[in-house]
Amino acid sequence: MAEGRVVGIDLGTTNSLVAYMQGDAPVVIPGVDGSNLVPSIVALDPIPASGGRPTVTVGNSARRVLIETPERVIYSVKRLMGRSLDEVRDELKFFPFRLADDVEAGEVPRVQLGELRFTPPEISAYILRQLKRNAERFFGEPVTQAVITVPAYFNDAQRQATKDAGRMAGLEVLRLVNEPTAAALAYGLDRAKEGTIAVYDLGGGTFDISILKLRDGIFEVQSTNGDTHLGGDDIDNLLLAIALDEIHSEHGVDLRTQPGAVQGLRKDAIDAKISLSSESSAKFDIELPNGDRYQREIPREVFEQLIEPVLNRTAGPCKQALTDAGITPEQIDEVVLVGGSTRIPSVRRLVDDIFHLSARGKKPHTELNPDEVVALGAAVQADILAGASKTTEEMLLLDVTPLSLGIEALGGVVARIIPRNSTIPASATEHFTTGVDGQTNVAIHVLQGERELAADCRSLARFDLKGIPPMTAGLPRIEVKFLIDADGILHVSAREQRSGKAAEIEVKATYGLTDEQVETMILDSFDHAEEDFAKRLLIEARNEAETILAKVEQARMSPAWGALRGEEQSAIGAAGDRLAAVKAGDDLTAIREATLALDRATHRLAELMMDAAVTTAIRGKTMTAAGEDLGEEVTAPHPMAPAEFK
Amino acid sequence: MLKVLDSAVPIACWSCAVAHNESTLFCPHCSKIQPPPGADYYSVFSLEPRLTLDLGMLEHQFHKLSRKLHPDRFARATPEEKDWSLADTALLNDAYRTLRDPIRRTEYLLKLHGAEIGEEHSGKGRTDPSRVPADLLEEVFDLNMQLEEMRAAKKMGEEDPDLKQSLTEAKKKFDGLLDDVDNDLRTQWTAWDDGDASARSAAQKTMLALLDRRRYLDNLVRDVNETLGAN
Amino acid sequence: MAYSDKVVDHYNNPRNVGTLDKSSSEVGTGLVGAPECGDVMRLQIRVNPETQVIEEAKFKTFGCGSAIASSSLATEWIKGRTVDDAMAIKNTDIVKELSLPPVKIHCSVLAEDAIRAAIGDWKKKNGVAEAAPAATATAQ
Repeated sequence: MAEGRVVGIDLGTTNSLVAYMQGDAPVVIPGVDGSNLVPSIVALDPIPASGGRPTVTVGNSARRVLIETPERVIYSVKRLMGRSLDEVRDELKFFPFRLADDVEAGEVPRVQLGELRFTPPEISAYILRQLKRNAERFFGEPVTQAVITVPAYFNDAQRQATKDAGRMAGLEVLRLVNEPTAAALAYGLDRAKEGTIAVYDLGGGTFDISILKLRDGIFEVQSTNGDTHLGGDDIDNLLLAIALDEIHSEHGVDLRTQPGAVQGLRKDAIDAKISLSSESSAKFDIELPNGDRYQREIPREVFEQLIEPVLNRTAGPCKQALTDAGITPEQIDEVVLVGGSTRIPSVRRLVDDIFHLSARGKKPHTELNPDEVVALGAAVQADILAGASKTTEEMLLLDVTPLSLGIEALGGVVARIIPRNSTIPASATEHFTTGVDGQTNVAIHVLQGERELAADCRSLARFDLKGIPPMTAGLPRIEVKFLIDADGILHVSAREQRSGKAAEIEVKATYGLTDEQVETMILDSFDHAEEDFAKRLLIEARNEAETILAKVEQARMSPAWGALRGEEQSAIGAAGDRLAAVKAGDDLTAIREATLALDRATHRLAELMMDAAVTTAIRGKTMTAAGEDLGEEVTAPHPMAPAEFK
Repeated sequence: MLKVLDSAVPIACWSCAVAHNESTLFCPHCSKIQPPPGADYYSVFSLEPRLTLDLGMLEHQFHKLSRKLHPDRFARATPEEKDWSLADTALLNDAYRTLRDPIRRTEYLLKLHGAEIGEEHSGKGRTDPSRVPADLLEEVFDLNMQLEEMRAAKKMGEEDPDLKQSLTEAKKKFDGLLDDVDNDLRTQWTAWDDGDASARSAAQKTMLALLDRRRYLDNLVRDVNETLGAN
Repeated sequence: MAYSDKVVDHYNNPRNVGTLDKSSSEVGTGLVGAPECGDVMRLQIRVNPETQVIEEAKFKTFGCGSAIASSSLATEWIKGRTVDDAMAIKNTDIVKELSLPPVKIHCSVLAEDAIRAAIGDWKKKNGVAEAAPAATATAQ
């Protein structure tokens, strides 16, 4: 068995990260662009004229495509993971993606991306593959095992979909860890903490609250609650809706029909949101296609009023989690803030209020970057699983299942068999029988949720127990064992006790992707085989060389090229020729060095081009220009105003 | 009926082949993890089946066993050991969840002794009406009406301070009744734990009635808390 | 898998929810509870003193969906019947009609108890003997 490294991955709605344990501290592995955050954006490049498979780009480079050709890009795919067709249809009201038109009920929905169709796990697999490659580039060796984080409130289907995505990306997912719990691990690492902590995690698309008890290195989750449809995206949508409405009513321009323009505006809304965390007001200043300008000032008070209903939706889950843990807010010793949205001052006030913090002279923990803390915690868990580490050998995470598990009984009512907040792994045994003489099948409907009628819970799976020996009705005694594993995923096994036919009862889940389907979706079959690793590095290096050569060729047409000195131009030409010459060869080092040399030679050119783009953006803020500067400042940790919290 | 705690049939350890007692989670000889034993929840913790438990001790044992059994410790073990770790830990967690909660523990132990608890015994015959005193029933119904009124008022965005006051008082009262039931239960625990067969059987009957009463009160307190808490 | 639409229907659109004047001599009130799950059910009838026909039936149930559906169905069934006819309704009829699962059979028991308790209350108020009317007749 491979005893390689185990990395920790935060597969986020907005950004994804990969981290590992460097000695006794977790660190984030940067991408080739030096950025720790890989935006969870996947773009399908145009199919090459020569035919063949189109390439897929992930992260910052995919972001540009979002404005130019939105129909070739997908983001926030996490919101679609493990969801049924109807749920995805609901989701897509807020996103510019299209469902593939040939999807049938009961199938895993597929999203149209350019000419192709992908299931949500496949899209996520592209993001995971990018992170895997970043890690492999960093270590110079294959990475095949990972811990991936999921929102604590993810249900069984969403967890299974995440695991499937890992497999498609060529990763053995050793464990799914809940995001708030991972954050607690990251915080609890440096000192031997004791006590009760609450983790408030408001991310891009999901909200989680977890309450943990720390003792002797054991992180025991007491309760968890949340909302898988609540996050920064909702705040963006509110701002976006205001802008779209006002542009329509005041300027008679309906931007809703122009996906590219909407994406540009969304970017402006995100900028406004971010700056409102440190500034007392933000501005929309947008040039419209008809030449008008849409100018709008948003004072912080207005913003806070606007988002209050969204934020207040986090209070209920917090109170429920406290009740379920059997404690009062005063018994919470520490609160940890996770997720970019917790930078918003009114979020911090709400948290202070819920947990009575300042009244007790306490402050929430924000020492670790809220964008990175989950990935860091995943790296800690990865280290625990890999074993053989002094730092984490005493640590153990005991997590819980967020939702009650029940089975539908006759009459549509739900019989609860595993209550929510049970420590996982957890199990329950139920007995079933037949209703008709000679019946050989029994259907079991498993649900997740807290409501009493099956129709109000989320249908998790329908299992058919097949191969029951024919007997008089009511005589077979089928023992069905339900087991929720440490990933929060349900396993069902059955045996007929009267005849002792243990193994012959087939249990078939009727949701999600089948094993065979996942197998066919594995991105690169050779991602698995380590002997192909060198070959793959070579192919990647060649691709990278192609990309940079193409970019330089394009740049020759730009005004920036003309601004270069003659010797700069010829140096670029020479470096380009050198790379073109070696790239077809098998010498990996030579290709890499030549690529690096060309990259260095074009540094100033890139700078000039960026300057030009930014200037255009500031001057006119046209939609295309806004596309050029889409990027770093959105993802970079934005400055907090310390004065606010003194 | 209560399972025999110490099985007389020894089985051989899969790893070192030394025979061991069936109800153990680890081989006493080579310390390797064993397939899940058919043990009851008490023997998972090597505890005597009693209703009065030292919860601090139970938690300590739970953590100690978790460290050894948890799937995190077997991430790179053989598939069999992984499976056993999963099954053993599930058993451990199920046992801890049941035993640390006084009500679940009482129900569990009484069930082991053949009692039928909660909805299981319903429908099999008319329930004994004497178990729900008429005055409690009246009170419960009135309180439910008040709760409904308060929820309706809240939906309209209004709040009747008198109603809130009376609910808060009712909550105090029912909290008190719940405490009384719990105290009565604890008294019965001792009677059950230390008594002879006839004392046990009397205690069991009393506890079953107390558990029914408690379920009533518990639902009420939960509803009152929800309504009052949703401010 | 049989999924009882009737339970859902009665649960979502319960019939005859409400209150009758408890102090009226024509009204009988039955208040019953199920210790198993903490449900409480009040069923009231208004009986025509001339015909002994139940002209109106109302219920108020706090409890699970099956309990609400059971009492809703019970009020529908007893309306228009004489009190003696209504006494003939058995919980098993309710179980059958609603396809209640075994764990929810006590809800139907509760509804049957509520009918009996309401009729009993009405009889007590009006001095009608508990015994069957036929027996009363022979005694005269």
